[in-house]
Amino acid sequence: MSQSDIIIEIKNLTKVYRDFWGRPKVQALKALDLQVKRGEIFGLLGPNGSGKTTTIKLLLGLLFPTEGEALIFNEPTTNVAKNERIGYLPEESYLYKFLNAEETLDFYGRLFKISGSERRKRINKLIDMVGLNHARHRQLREYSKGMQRRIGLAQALINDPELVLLDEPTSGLDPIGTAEIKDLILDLKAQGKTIVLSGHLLADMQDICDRIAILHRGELRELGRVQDLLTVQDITQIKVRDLPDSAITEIRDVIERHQGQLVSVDHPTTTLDELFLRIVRESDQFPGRRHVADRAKTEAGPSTKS
Amino acid sequence: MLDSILLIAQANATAPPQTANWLMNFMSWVYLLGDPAITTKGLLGSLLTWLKIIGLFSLVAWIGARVMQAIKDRISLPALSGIAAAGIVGGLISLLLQVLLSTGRLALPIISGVSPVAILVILSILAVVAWLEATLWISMSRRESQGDKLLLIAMHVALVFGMASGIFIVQNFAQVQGIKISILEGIQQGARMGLTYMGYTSLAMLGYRLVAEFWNINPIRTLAIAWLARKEANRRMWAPYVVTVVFLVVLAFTHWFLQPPRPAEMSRLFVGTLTLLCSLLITLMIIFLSPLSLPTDIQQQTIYTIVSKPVSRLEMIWGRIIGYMTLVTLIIAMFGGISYIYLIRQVNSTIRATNDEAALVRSGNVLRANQLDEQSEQLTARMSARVPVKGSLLFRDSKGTPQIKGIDVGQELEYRTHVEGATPSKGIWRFGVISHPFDEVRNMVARDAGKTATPPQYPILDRRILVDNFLKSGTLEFVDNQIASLKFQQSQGTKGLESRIDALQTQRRPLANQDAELKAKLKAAQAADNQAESDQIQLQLAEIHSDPFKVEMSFTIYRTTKGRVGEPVFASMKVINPVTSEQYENAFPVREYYTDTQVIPASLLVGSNGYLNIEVQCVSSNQYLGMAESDLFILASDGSFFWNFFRGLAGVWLQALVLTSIGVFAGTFLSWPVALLTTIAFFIGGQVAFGFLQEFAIQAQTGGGPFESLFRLLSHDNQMSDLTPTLPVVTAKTLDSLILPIMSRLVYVVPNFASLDVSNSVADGFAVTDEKMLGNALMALAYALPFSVAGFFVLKNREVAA
Ligand SMILES: Nc1ncnc2c1ncn2[C@@H]1O[C@H](COP(=O)(O)OP(=O)(O)OP(=O)(O)O)[C@@H](O)[C@H]1O
Ligand SMILES: [Mg+2]
Repeated sequence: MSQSDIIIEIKNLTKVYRDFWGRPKVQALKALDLQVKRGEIFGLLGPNGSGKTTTIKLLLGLLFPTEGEALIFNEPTTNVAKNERIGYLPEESYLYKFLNAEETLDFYGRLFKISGSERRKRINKLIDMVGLNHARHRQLREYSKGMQRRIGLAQALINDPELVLLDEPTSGLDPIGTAEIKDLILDLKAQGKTIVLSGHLLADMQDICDRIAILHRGELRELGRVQDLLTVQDITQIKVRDLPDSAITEIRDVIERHQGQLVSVDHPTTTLDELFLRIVRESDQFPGRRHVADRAKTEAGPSTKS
Repeated sequence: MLDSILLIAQANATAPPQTANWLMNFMSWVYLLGDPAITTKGLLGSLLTWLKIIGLFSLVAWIGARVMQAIKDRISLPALSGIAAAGIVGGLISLLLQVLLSTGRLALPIISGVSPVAILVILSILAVVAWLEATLWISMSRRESQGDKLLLIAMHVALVFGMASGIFIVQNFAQVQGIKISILEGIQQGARMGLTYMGYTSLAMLGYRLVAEFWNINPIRTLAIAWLARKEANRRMWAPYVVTVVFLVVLAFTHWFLQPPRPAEMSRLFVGTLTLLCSLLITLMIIFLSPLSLPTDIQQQTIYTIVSKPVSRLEMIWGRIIGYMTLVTLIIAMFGGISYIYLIRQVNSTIRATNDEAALVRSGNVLRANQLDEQSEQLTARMSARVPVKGSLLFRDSKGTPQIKGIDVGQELEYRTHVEGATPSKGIWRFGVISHPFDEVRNMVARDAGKTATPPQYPILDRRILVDNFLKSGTLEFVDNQIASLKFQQSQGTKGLESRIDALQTQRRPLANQDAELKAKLKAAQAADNQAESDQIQLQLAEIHSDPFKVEMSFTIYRTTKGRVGEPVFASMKVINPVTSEQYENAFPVREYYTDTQVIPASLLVGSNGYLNIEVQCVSSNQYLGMAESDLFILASDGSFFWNFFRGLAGVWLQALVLTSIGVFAGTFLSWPVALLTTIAFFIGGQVAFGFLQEFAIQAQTGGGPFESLFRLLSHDNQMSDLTPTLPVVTAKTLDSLILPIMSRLVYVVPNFASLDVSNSVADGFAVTDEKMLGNALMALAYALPFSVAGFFVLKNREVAA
């Protein structure tokens, strides 16, 4: 894997929120190590308050790390020039309520030296895409939550970014909107863009993410390809068509001879929901750091240290 | 101290060469650049002072930020904290001891020329410095910032350089003067200079970072931020609409409550009021806009979408300032336009009404008609932009003795002093490169007594008249003046001027002939009572002569009961060219409260080299003429009132610029209520309390610092009485000696808003000169730039999402 294929590199990233006097309040992120590769959809999962938003803010230089560092496009986060290639949708749509949709997109467009004609083209396309054509001249203060979310998403894409950071993109959206966003994200991936998203809607994440990281209280609990993570390792599944009962009995015997135990014959995989719940429960039972290997890298060595 | 350095240089020139001359030159530059309290004249001097202050502030900010960071990172070792605490306690004790010593409550032995307090001070400072050093180096070693490490090293080099130079300079001074100065003095001087050079170093680093950031600035982005700030002001705060409505409402009622005390002062009152209204509204608007913008942006988290775009923090600050200033510009242009039209209409209609009335009463009441004529004339005169040439005033009293001031007639609030009628008492305005009135009075007394003059002790004043501006090229006076100044140069020893003088003489001859001819003709025409002919000749004469120049004055009269009521008081004016001794004299009735204009023949300026004396006496006996220096001036030119009016508004614009940068700066690190209060405090400090703060700076206030004053207040002691050194007094004085130096440095941060306001000149009909405008613009920039840049560094180093 060449160096330029790593879009985000997070090394030992730690964030401690402090009060005015510098006394530690919350340790929101503990020595996080991650890599996001070009062209993948990366999901940040975790219960409320686990540090997903903190991670994204650190990546954008909205917060400064207490320890460790993060590189985007191999640049430190404090370098604003790299933001030319980044799109960001904040957790809530923090937009200027006194602007209308068109002005909002035009304003953000001007922050990326996009020429006037190109800006107008993109504004029309994006407003169309997020389905706000009927409300393009209304000030955002009149928008519903879902509408704000949509214009927020359009804003994140105004510069045709290479890397899109979406903090809970589907929160506040109706099911149709959610489906549309999923399609959109897949579409972005098809265009070769890298997407990092955080969220709780596990079913959706399962559908679209290539790789996920599960955070719990600021610690990385699981990291890997969705497919690998959801495969239950200690269970071997054999799918056979048109097998006679005698053969099944024989197989049972073979299994018994090898001290195996037949669990069931159906339900090949678990769901992300189950995985998620299991990890959260385990973490609650056994707090403390845990060795997490990137299962996608299989034999490539551990990506986190204890 | 600069004088003493120059003394060293001089002494060095004559004394046996102990130190090389180039070294002395170099050291006086090092001293000039390094001592925080020393500066030179002119723009360079202001720039130097500015750099020193900014440098010291950036030094304090840099060290302060690093120390805060270190404390927050909890890197300080317990032993270090102990040292710091010991240093601070030691410092406090030494302050207390110092106060006790100076109030005579305590006597300490002096050990071999050094007071024990001084040793304690040095030890305390060393302790604090040691703690600072350790903290800085440890925190540097933790953070991997190459630039900061380099800067820390450079600062030490600067400190050592300043320290060494300071010690060298003081020791050299002592050596040359042949006196003994303790090494402590040298160290103290060295510390002052070292700090200044450290200030320059940190300033250079900041400058480097600023320039690096500057290249990333994109006008489109900056203007986009400016656009956003404007939209926010319009749509969220409704600011321009509110301000405009208030302005129009107030304007609609203006003529109800604005009643000038004298009809002629109408324009003055209106100009003053309208400018004040404009400035008030704009100031209020800025106070409520600029400090609120960034804090709300941060609080409502809208800033996330900005910071995550390729926007430099400098663009976020300058963009805002540009946005607000665009708004201010538009509003000022609008208000100015409306005010101007309103003003012109009001004044013109009053002039017309006055003229109509005058025409009406002329046949019956000539006195009243003349009065009205005068009124309308004054109204017109005030709507101008006069450029005065000001002289320096001194007096002779009724016995003829030179005085700095005239007679005080006991009117307390009057800044004018008086000359007594029908006595030798007079006011003398001197023009030229002249000695200070204090020196001149002393020398006049000496000369009157037949003694020789003594060298000046006060600065020389440059009150020259630029004669060439008053004489029309090609006229008789012009040529005469050129001949005179060439002859003057010749008398000073300049060679090779003969041919030029001859050429001028040749040029002069036909003019002089023509003049003589015309004058003869004029006489004949006048004798023949031919009005048309003599008018014609007058015009031709005016062609070859320069126009006479005007002297304007406005005196007051103090009437004693001995005078007759209703009879005018007369003044006499004598204009003397001190070089050629040519004189012009005239007597005239004084118009009280109004401007008197006297027309002086241009020939008086010929050969004057810019020197002129104007003496004014009161002719009427038992009456007193009140005058102050600014009451009499030579009118250099008369500009357009329109442009002057807008220059007055430009003053408001500059005020707004400074206030905007302060507001935006405050918003970078304070929550909006605190930022708002800070901006208001700055404005009040600069507008109302500047003089007071300035006194604070020079610590010249009677009654001591804030704590001592508080003590006096509580104990009912007046400001002057000596306080017995009781414990509370000593405590108060100690606290003051701690607070005052800090306060006096902080005063530099408060901009002098009042001096940016030039509306008084405009209202009085005086031109706001280009130099004044340029000076004010530079001053506004000198504040706006550092504040905005400081805002940039704060914003760059803070987490906007924390
Ligand atoms: N500004 C702040 N000051 C102090 N603590 C904070 C701040 N922001 C977040 N935290 C704390 O940091 C931890 C992680 O917060 P973060 O917002 O990253 O969680 P999250 O994973 O995004 O949660 P959610 O799913 O609710 O959005 C939480 O314990 C939170 O209380
Ligand atoms: Mg979150």
